[in-house]
Amino acid sequence: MGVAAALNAERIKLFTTRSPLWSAVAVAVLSLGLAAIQAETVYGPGPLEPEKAAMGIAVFGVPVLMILSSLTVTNEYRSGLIRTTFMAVPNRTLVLVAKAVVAAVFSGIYAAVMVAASIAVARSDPHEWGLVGAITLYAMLASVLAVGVGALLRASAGAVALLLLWPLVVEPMLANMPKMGTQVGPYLPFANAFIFIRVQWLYPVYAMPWGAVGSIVYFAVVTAVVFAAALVVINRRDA
Amino acid sequence: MGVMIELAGLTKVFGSTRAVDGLTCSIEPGMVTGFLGPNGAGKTTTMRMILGLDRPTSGTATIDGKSYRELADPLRHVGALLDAKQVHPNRSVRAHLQWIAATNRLSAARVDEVLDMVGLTAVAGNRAGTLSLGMSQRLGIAASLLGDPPVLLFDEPVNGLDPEGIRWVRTLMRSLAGEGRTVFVSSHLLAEMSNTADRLVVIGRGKLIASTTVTEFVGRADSVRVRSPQLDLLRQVLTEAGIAVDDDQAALALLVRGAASEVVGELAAKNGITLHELSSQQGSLEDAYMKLTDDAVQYRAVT
Repeated sequence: MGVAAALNAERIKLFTTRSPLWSAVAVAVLSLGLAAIQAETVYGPGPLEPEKAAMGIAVFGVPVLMILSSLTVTNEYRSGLIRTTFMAVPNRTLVLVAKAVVAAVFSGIYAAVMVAASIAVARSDPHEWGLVGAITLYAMLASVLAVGVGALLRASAGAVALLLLWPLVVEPMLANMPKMGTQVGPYLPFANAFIFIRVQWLYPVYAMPWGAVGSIVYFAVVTAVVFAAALVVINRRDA
Repeated sequence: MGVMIELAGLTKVFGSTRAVDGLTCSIEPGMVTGFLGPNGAGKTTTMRMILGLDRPTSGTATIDGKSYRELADPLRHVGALLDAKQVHPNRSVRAHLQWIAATNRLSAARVDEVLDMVGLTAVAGNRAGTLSLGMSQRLGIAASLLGDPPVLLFDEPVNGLDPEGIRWVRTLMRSLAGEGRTVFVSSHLLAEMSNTADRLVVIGRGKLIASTTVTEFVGRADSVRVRSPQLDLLRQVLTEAGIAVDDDQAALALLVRGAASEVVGELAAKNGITLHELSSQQGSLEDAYMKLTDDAVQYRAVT
């Protein structure tokens, strides 16, 4: 089967609905809005730190991109379109990989643009290529994770709820639980991703069992496990 | 050379239900084969297994000797319409066909060609969700024709269509078969199939009931109604000639099965029997179908 053909088809699918546009607008409002507000209210000497300027895209923008990614799968299950897809490309592994690649590329490029734009809006140090790269990588992995979650759950409502609650509510809550927080915290996937991108949010600082690179490898491993489970499930079940 | 669909012991079990039960038959090229059975008989499940969507519990479904999943660029081999509402409601009609074409490396020009074939060129820019059922059906058929495949499967393609739409689908299926393609069409309406199909595969409760030509199936169901003042003598004559006879209690007439009205008339004349009526029964086709599938209807209203 043609890998290029499957990728091309998924690219056409993504850009012939309005969801990428709406997601892009929502992410831009969240990212640039938070960057601008923080820049206005910054105290002390010097401009806003780039890590703080990028908080909007990292904390709220990436989950929106994750929702967009999971919808590329769950929307097809809702309309029955997934059957048309599997009839055109019977290799289901190829279908899901193509969806993940297209979602990750879109999320990665858009996240990179948003980090750069946030830094510009906040008038922070513009030479933060490390930060741009880190958040891009995080957004790409998160999109692959979201495609896997979408394929496992099939229902949009469930996938959206999980993808919002997991990074924004469940992990910060577990991380901040008295006593348990310090034991569970180092193994929370999104807490690890935030160590890697150096954006401070609701996670307290723990002694991580691995360094920043180890943290993103850990997040990538979690993503790979979820995505592999999704591949096994879609190949087994009747469409 | 045409391409055959072959089912061998095809079986699908959902929990304790045998939705498709040991189906063996072949569907031949150059003709329309009707796939007939009451609702819930397993027609859709069978088609889904042919298309590699559902995994058979046992048995095989092959196209040109290969399972669907083994076909490279399957849309160039098989086109199918399962459910006309299988579209993204906000994607345009043309874009819907464009992504399908892209999966099998079919040209953009082909998209315009099939749009033209089904008469949707004027609404190509409209969102697929705004189409009427008839137009959605045409879009589904356009998608099935994209790869110019030698094999076509349609699941209840005329359901919910107006008379003009029905005639269009019927003509299309006839012409596709006329081009030497294998056309497999499911329906729960016998009358529809007797107009369109050359052969019939009849199933009930997942089991094969008949695989035969329409002419033979109709002949099997043919009956002649005879009224006569010498009914007993007529019955005796017909029975001696080896012809099956039923009593029609209400009208004091005989229903003769498996013999044309000419045969009955000539037998009566030879024996000097007066006839008051000699007529072929039009409704008997439906009756025969009902009788055949009677035990096989899974759900029915209690009357």
